[in-house]
Amino acid sequence: MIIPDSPHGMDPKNREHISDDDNALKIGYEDDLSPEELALRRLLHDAVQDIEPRPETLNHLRRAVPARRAHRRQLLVGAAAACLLAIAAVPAALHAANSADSDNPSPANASSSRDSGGTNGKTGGDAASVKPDASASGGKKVSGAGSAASSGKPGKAATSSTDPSQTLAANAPSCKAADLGNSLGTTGTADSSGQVSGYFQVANISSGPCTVDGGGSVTFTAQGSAQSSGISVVDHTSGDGTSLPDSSGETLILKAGESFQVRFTWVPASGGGTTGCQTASPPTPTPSASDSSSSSSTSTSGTTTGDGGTITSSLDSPSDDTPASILLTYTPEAGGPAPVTTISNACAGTVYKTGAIASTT
Amino acid sequence: MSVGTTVDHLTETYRAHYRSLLGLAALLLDDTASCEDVVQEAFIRVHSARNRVRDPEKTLAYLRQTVVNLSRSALRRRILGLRLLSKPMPDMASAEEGAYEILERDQLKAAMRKLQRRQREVLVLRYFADMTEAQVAETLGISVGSVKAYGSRGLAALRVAMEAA
Repeated sequence: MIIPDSPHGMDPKNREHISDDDNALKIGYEDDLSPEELALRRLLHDAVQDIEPRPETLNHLRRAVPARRAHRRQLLVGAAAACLLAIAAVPAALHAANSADSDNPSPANASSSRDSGGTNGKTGGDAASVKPDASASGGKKVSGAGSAASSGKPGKAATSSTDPSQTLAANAPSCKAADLGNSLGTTGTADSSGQVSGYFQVANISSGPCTVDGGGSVTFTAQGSAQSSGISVVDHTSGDGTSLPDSSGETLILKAGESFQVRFTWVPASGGGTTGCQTASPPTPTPSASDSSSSSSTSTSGTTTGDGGTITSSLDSPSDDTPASILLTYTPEAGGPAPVTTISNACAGTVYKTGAIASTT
Repeated sequence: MSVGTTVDHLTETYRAHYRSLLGLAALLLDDTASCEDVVQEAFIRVHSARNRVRDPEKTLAYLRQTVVNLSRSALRRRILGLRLLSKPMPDMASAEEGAYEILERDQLKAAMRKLQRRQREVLVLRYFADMTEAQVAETLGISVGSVKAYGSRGLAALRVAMEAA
């Protein structure tokens, strides 16, 4: 059994060791303990008194603590970068709205950009210590850092990643054709004026982040009685009458698994009814036997350039019994997947397309 | 304990507490190899969180709590995965120590190993770390009444084990 009066209990070495902990607590501490408790206390200290730290321990700790701090910082940097991107999008969007010719920028644009600043800014707000409600002025303050994420110049998405000052973009390699996949194209239903909106979506299926270089291209194929000469694809600009979101011109970086969208709106040619078929821009795509035979003998193609991509049109052999429709094909700037979607009941008109924008879904 | 925030807090804490924390982990774990890992990890965790070292008075409390928690997870890992019986602490007793003391120490270690985890934690914190019952309760996240109960039951179990040996 434990011997309370062991001389070892008075061992000066042992007492010195105990007093390491904190003296203030121990004033009178031993008086409260029973002899058995005191003996246990001595035995416990005896049991481990020979344990010594490894000689290199302190040096190891001196290296490990800053390393752990750095590791924690790295985790924060990711959140901060996402926050900067979100904050930089606010002044860029405002700048785009201000610089547009329209005196009355679409309320949808303004509200959507404010929303993204509010929600994203809040989540990453601590890391970057930028208050999310500092939308316009706060955005200007961080524009130095934000320039890494956004040039602030709208409409330069295709070339912005080549700017060496864009360090964030440089951190993520360009999305290669093989990095992209899981693509889809969808088209909604026509509204009362015949406008049809839809989008293409392409995901980063690689294991790491990559930068989307440019908006890619949208090509169309007129089907049935649709006339390719009456169809054009243009880049969406603020105030063009569609409800498409404005491209802020920022470089889009996709984390693994994230996707981007290219949205479009089909606007039928004016005067052509909701399909644009009735009186479209010349040549008049009136389905007739002579028209059909002449157009079936030729395949017209037109080329316009936009956003670094190429928009080509080709006219398939139409037949009278095929309803007019337009097949849209999206090709990312880097190539890869080519999602398609069809706008039915469409003859002539304009496809407004955005650049690559982050998927909201 | 000299509270030196200006000098090198890590070195200061290391010199003041590392060895006693090593003992704490050894009594909770009875394995010198993993107890060194546990205490090092506790030091790194506590010191890399700046808000934890802002108040040097609390550093020791944070360290002890982390050592207890890590010892628990180390124990759990060992029970689940590696081996059921931990290897005894290497006996590094010096030659001049009496055979009786070595025997008694080994008996204690064997008896401690047989205690329930909570009983062992209470006894080690109370009698090795010299914490008050209230401090033990706070560190383990249990009530003072539970500390008293675990302590007295642990002492009784230890008494039985030591007398049987």
